[in-house]
Amino acid sequence: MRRLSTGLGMLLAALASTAAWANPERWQLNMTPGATASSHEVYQLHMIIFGICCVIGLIVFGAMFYSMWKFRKSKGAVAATWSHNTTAEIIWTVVPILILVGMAIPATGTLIRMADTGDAEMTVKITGYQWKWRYEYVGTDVNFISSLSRDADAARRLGSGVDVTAIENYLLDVDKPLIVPTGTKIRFVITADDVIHSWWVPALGWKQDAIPGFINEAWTQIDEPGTYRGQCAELCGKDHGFMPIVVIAKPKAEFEAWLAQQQAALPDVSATAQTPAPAPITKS
Amino acid sequence: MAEHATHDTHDEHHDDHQQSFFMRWFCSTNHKDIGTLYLLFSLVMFFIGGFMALVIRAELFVPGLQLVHPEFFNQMTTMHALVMIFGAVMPAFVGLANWMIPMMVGAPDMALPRMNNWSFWILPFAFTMLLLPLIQYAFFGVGAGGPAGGWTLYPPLSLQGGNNVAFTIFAIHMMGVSSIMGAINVIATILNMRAPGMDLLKMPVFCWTWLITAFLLIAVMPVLAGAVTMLLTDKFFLTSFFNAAGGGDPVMFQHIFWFFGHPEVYIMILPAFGIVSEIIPTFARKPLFGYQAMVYATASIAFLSFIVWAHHMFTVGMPLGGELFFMYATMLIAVPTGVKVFNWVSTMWKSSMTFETPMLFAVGFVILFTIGGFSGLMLAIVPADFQYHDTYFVVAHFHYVLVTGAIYSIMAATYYWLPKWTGVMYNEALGKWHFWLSTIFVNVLFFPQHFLGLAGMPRRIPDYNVAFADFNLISSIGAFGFGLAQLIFAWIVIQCAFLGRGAKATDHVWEGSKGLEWTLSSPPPHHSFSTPPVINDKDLAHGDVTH
Amino acid sequence: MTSPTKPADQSASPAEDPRRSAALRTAIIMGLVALGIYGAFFLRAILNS
Repeated sequence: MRRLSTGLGMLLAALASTAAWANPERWQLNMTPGATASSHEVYQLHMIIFGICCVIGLIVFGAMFYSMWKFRKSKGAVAATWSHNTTAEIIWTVVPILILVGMAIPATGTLIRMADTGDAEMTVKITGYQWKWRYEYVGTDVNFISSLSRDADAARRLGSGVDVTAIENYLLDVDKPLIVPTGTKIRFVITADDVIHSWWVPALGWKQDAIPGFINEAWTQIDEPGTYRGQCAELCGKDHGFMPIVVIAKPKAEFEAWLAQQQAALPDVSATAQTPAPAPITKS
Repeated sequence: MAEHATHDTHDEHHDDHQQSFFMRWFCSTNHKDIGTLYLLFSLVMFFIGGFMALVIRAELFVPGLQLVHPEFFNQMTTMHALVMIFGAVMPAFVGLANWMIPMMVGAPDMALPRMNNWSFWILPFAFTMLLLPLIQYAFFGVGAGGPAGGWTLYPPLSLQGGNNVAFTIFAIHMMGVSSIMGAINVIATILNMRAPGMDLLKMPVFCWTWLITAFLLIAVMPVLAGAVTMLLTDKFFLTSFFNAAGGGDPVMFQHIFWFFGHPEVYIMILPAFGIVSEIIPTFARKPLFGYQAMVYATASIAFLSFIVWAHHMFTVGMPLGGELFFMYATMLIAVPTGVKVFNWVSTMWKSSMTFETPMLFAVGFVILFTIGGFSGLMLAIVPADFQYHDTYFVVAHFHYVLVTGAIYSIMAATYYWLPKWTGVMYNEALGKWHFWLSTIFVNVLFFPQHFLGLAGMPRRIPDYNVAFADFNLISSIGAFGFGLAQLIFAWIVIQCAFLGRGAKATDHVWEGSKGLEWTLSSPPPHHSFSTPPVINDKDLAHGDVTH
Repeated sequence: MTSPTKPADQSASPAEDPRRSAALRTAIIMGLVALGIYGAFFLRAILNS
């Protein structure tokens, strides 16, 4: 019980501060407000609809519980015989329509803003494989595969004997994270090589399916430097639960330095400038 | 009147004794016997599917893999869904339709009794076929196991399965044929076999919801059959309907599948609306509020179900216009659904209620289904759905509408009509225990899953980060509690149906019961209404509908 | 509403009920509709590819 109240306390704290919870916490009850303007909008939309549902729920369930308490045969209630009331029926058809319109307006605005991938300053191509991600910094030769961190990969095996709770960021950590700059509109082009995957980092406020033969688009602009974790969200085979995503947002200058260093470290430009080689066969 | 009916029963029982066990149950053309077969089949499947759910919840009890390999875990999630949807919920509703529709509209039997037999007896073979690869693997270590690509069978993943793809697809074809024949029978019975004077707009709401459901089935089961046939040819005959490398389109499968899948959701909930609309007036001793509004709301929901399918696919990368259209259309469904909930509450308003087990389940249905409806409305909002999609929030949502929605209504219906079917009252105290234990545990089971989803736990994963550990533990405890509580249900049914234990039921069974089925004896005669009954408007469950 | 008065007469030969032929017609129409939808989806998919 105390732990539950801790959880509630944390929920309240998160409601007060938008910077909280980029990554899942124990006893977390609510969606993360995230780290981008879009994710804040999504979070607010979520809270508005949730609030409306709670109010409607209070009214409907209140009326139900009141009737169940008041109109019992054991309390001598006598049933009325009416079965129509046109006024009431019109009210409870029209009022919900108005509420829905009220919900649809902000949702439409947010959706239109999230769909606009124009004016991006850089593009990252994401390719899903069974069961890892490839990131390519479009316009450079930097591209690499990102897969489940080695310690978690060993610990997750059936009968490994390892206490997984002792592993930091178990199943939410990768060997090579995606590094991006803060304060930059980044366009993602997302596809897959084998089956359908879905690229999801809750702190960015969206997920987008990675589909073989299709190129989907999405964008983000992260304000705060930080580490943001996510997972594949579309069932993609036996290791679907074991292909996490880690995005590290760094200040622009640090990112540029990192990118330059990566480019310098490339062994042979001509070998990697081609379309990515097929993913290596997994150790299964 | 009762004497007549009892006399009939006696006659018919005499006939029954001349039938061998084989002739009665395997070659049955009687709507009640076939209804019983459907319901028992559904109960067996409910426990098989429930066992799979418990394997899933046991593996998710604590972080780390303890019990099963990820591949087997995926087989469990896939088969749990297929067995529960096609094996438990749909056959249960068809069983209820078989039992009740001829009695409710004043017909002697279903319109096409031989086809009725056929549509049931396809099912055990279909499910043997569906389960065979899994049984071979799990119990005999043969083959690679059952389908593991999710019940939605999305290619290319579903095509990575081995020969189980063929087993699954043929099983789905057979279930589809069975469902279509069942639906045809319901339509023919309702349109052609009603007693004179039983106008369409005087039928019980259960008949109306089933009539609309039957049209939905006929419209969408062929679509599913088409989609899986294309999967079959893609897998075994080198076509490329859904294979991007061959010029096909994997997203097209999702469009076709959900064009079936969304009406399918309503196929599983509209009959539940009908059941609850029968039960609440009975125990409220007050006519159903807004009978015609109920019928029109059902029809609107059925219509809207055809234009909302892509809300299952908001993250596949549709054009903005498409996302907006499907968001608005989906939100609209809240209006007729809201009308129904308000009508049930108004039926309870100024009534005179008692809370026997069927009423408890019906009230539980209205409250918990509405919670599922709220999360459904939240899921309709596209930007928010970008976060909810494919997380445990969705899992919580559809279990609230399917378990505490569809399954609760089936249980309510069972308690409501069991005395009529068997002639024996069930054990009321045990029934109440079943309700309260189920309701407590089902919320312990599914409510924390909302939090898990919002915190970022994807669905269909066998293992998770320690951040998700606490609510998964609670959820698993709820799952085992809910599973065990269902043993009470099985015992109550066995007591009434097989052991004949309990007080003798009267013909009317409930004080407030109205409608043709209650004018027959308990248990009813072999042929329900050999001579069409005379319809008296004020004796109908929803009162006089002329004003 | 009354209970059935002459059960033996009609239950013995429900096939002679005139409603049955109408029911059969309904059933055949609905069956053809189902087949038609199945076929139409195929035709559409094949033309598409």
